[in-house]
Order: sequence, then C-alpha cells, then structure tokens
Amino acid sequence: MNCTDYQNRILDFIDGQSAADNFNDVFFHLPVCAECREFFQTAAKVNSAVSIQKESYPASLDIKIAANIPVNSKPLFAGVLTYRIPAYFAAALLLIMIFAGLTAMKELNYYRSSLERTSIQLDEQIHKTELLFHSLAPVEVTPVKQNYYY
Amino acid sequence: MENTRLFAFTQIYNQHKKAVYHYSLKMTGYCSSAEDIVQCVFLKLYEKFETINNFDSIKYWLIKTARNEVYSRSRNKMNGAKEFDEADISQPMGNVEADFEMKELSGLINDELNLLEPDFREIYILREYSGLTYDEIAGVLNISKELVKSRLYQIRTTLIKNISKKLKD
Repeated sequence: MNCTDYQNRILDFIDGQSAADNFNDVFFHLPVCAECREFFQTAAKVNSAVSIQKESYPASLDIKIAANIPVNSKPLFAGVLTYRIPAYFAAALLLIMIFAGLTAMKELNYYRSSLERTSIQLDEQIHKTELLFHSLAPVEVTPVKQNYYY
Repeated sequence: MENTRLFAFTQIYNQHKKAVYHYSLKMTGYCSSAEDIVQCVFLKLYEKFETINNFDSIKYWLIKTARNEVYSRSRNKMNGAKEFDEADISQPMGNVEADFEMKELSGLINDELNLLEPDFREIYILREYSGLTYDEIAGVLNISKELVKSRLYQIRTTLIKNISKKLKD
C-alpha cells in the first residue's frame, strides 16, 4: 500500500464508510509517515470544524417559520366534498327514511282510529234499527188475490 | 387531525432543519437567502404534508426542494433581479465560532469550497453539511454513485492538502 491508499482509508474512516478494524494498518503507518500523519491531523480538524459549523442554526428562524405556518390551511369544507360524500348521503337517506316512517305510522294510526269510530257508529245504527224493528206491532199480512186475465 | 400534522411536521423540522439550512447557506453564501430558502422549503412541506406518502425519504425531498429554490433564485439573480442587499453581503459565510482556531479553519474551508467547481462543491456540501448518503446524492444530482464516490475522494484530498499547506504557512 502506498500513501494514497492510506489517505483514502483515512477518508473512508472519517466518513464512516469503514470499520475501525480496517484502520489498524493506518495506525501502524502514521508514526512512520509524516505526510500521512499531517493528512490525518488536518482531516480530523476539518471534520470537527465542519461538525461545529453544521450544528449552528439561527434561533430566530424557528420563530419565523412557526409564525408563518397557516393554522387552518385547509378550506372549511375541504374533504366534505371528497371522500365523505357517500357517508353524508347515507346519513341523509337514513334520516329521510326515519322521518317518512314516522309520518306514515301517524297517518296509519289516524285512519285506524277513524275506521274504529265508523265501525262503532255502524254497530249503534244496526242496534237502533233492530230495536225499532222489534218495537213495531206484528202486522198480519193477507195475500191479495189478484185476477189474471189471459 | 391538524394537531397530528403539526406534531409530525415539528419532528421533521427539528430533525432536518440544519441539513437544509447549511446546504442553502453553503450554496448561496448568504445567511438571509439561506433563511428564506429554509422557510420556503418547510412551508411547502407543511402545505403538501398530506400528499407525501413516503416519509422515509423526506430528507431527500427537502434537499431536492431546497436545491430547486437555490437554482431558481440564482437564475433570477442572473436575470437581473436584486436578491442580495448590502446587509447580506456584509455577513460572513458560515457562523461565528467561539474558538479562534476553529473560526480560522472554517474560513479556510469556505475559501477552499469557493475555489471548487460548482458541481464538485455541491457534492461535498450534500455529503458533509446535509448528510445525504451516496445514493441520495447520486439521485439529487442525477449522476452515478461511483462518480459521487470518486469525486468526493478527489475533493476531500484536494481540500485537506490545500488547508494543510495554508495552516503550515
């Protein structure tokens, strides 16, 4: 292995692309090679500088973004006109059916009671007629002889 | 429903905000532009939250959206639209470091990044500052994974050797 190979291994290790076991050769090489040692030291420094840079973030940006997030970004009836239509339609149909059923039952009850009233009245009329019929004196009916001319 | 969306959004935001911010910052070079891009990207995410099916690749989606924003802004800039004001230009690239040596090193890294070709610089930024995988970088830039890998070796070696030389001086 030459210095370029060792330096590539250093880069892989710093980038997290190779395990520490693969780095053993580099550790033995570093004390004897000033160029690679310097490369390693600078790579480590650059890596830590980039890591520190990466951690900075303006706190004001959090507030700015939070303030600009629309609280009710969805229109009031969004969704109602999409996947919920069948559900609303079914609910409305059910309500109509219940209302129609109740109305029909009310009407039926009314007709039934009026029928009962009519039936009672009819019974009373029959009873009165029978009483009247029985109160009449028996009448003897004599047949009238009729003359037929042929 | 709204609360669930807000909760999930907050988690994604906290997880990926730095990656999007540093990508935008390194690509544009200006804090205010980077902040605008981050804001734009995350508001877009919030709007399209219910249409996104695969949240495993959300980082990829965020970086891709940020990239579109960066390039559309740079096109506007080229077309003559005024994007950066003087306050922006006076702001340094990157952030203030407590440690002077680290500050100097950050400056050197930024200088070296600016010397790189735009394609190469973007690969390095996507890997180092946004933490994308080789596959994701290949997807964002529409190039092969092998090319990403070989370019990254090239960039890192150049960067480290140049910085090493400057530190010695």
